[in-house]
Amino acid sequence: MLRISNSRKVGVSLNSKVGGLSKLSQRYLTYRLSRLPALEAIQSKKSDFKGLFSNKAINEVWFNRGEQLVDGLNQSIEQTFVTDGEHSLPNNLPDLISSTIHKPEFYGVYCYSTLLYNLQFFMENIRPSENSAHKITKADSNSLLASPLTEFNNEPRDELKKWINDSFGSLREFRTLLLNSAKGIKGDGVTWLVAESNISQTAINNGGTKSGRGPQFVNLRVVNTYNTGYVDDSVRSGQVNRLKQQKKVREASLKAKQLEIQEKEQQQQQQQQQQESPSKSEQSIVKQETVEESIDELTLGTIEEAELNVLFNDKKLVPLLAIDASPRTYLLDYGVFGKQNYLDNVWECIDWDVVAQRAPQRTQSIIGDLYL
Amino acid sequence: MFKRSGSRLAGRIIQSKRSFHDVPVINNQNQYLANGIEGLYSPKGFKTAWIDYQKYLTLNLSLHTVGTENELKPPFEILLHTAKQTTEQHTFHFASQAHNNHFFMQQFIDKSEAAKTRPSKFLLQRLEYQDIPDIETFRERMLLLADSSFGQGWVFLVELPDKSLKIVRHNNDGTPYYFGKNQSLDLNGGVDEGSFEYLNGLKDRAKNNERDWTLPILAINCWDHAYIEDYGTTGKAEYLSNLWDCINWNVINKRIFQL
Repeated sequence: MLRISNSRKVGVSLNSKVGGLSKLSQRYLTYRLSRLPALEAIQSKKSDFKGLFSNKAINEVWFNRGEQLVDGLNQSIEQTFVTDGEHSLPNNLPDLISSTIHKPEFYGVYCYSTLLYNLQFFMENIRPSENSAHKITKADSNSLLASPLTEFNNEPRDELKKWINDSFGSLREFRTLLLNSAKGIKGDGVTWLVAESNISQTAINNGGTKSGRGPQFVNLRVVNTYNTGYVDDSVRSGQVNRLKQQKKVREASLKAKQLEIQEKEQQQQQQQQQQESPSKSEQSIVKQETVEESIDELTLGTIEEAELNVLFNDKKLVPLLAIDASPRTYLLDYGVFGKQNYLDNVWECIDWDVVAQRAPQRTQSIIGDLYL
Repeated sequence: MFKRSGSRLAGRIIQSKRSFHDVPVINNQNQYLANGIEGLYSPKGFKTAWIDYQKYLTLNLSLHTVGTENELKPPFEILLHTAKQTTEQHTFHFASQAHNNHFFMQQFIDKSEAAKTRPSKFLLQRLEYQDIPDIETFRERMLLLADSSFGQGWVFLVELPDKSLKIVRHNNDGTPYYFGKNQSLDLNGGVDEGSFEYLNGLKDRAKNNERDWTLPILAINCWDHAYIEDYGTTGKAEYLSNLWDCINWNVINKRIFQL
């Protein structure tokens, strides 16, 4: 075991929790791992998560890792909030995430809460599959050369199916996009199906739309998050941009000061030169004004611009479905080569009833309906 | 006749050599496959971390480079070549991982053998210049950084162009050889001013075509593939601790620049 004292963000193997718990709960809220009935049953019966995980894997992926994340979360809360005990903690993960995402000093709290949120979101939208065709077996290197599976049985129903068809063209196209997005994640990450609102979070905060209605949800989208990324772009968006703006303001005030000094100097010079030729000093002022930033169209833009343009522009995203594509989810049961098999099985285990319940009220676009 | 035509065409003959990437053979590989690495891997754990994962990486690398300019290059050259190309990042991933994993696996030996090796005086002296007074502190710094980072990644001890040593973390498939792709920042969560400035600095350095002469000395693999088989999803700390006891310092000592 590691013998490391005074460490931040380390949730592993530093186990002195038992004594600390009661004391903790007096001053701070401590979080516990949610109890998901379907998974509790699997654990007590020591059975497999049919069609997706062996008993060993579900224990590792949900119970052991979940506990580890909760421990880490509580520890980093304890460590970070000791320094400023004034803060009160929200009692749910999304609020905890949105209150820490902009603050570098709560990096540990943010990371653990997001990982926990993502994991639980995924576990809640899958259910064991009764279809015996989908086996949990290790794949070998030849599976990398195999053609992708085109047959699938598990389908959403009614409204949701229609919405997916309208947004992605067909269920088959949606499945391909969803599973390939998940396959494209090399390290840790989650692929999401989200409903995208038509107006930005800033607009919602500023009083909503003119009609007085809340945000409208027209389109479904597929989005990836990596490592400890959080899916709702409206919570995080524009952070780098804000930093840039702060810097601009700082630099502008510096420049203003410098200009002031320069002007004073110039005035002094002017006073000295007044008798000789007053036109010289005018020239120098004109020169200063013409120096502007030249824009090169061939080079890539800045990171801030990319964040602003490529991401969802501060749009509220309501997540409906999560697929955890991190290596730990498939390595144990499917092996190093088995990610595709794992993803095919995940599709068969998606609980579409849960997904449909999470969906916000759909707003059908009038133009869209004319064409569909 | 043959000779004549041969010499006439010699300048124009195009070698139709086809090759594909495969798993390199490391020292004691068969022994490790049969018995594992004592104190670190079971035979199964070793197979997953080296044979299987390296096969996965090299096979994918072959699939991604066949018929391209990268087809005949070794992983190291491919990763350098693709690091700056935004459309070649899948290829970069497999090249960078294949190189890092090979570099990593060469460092270990059975625990009992490893105990006979020592970091050289030269290495310890160089660490002292970085305020790392002894090997225990060095161990703590390396392993704490590895243990406290989220997600997959690498921790490297690297040698900078001025021959000073530095401990760095690379998220995901980051490489120590090029500053623009070493992925040492995690921009999830709050971004502090230091990170923001570093990010802008990177852009300017890349724009000025700045070269990077950093070289790795010691690598720690924090990818799940390296430990999940033997240690489970929550066993990273134990894995790291065991890993340290199996380092063959004779290998590491030779990697440092010496006159």
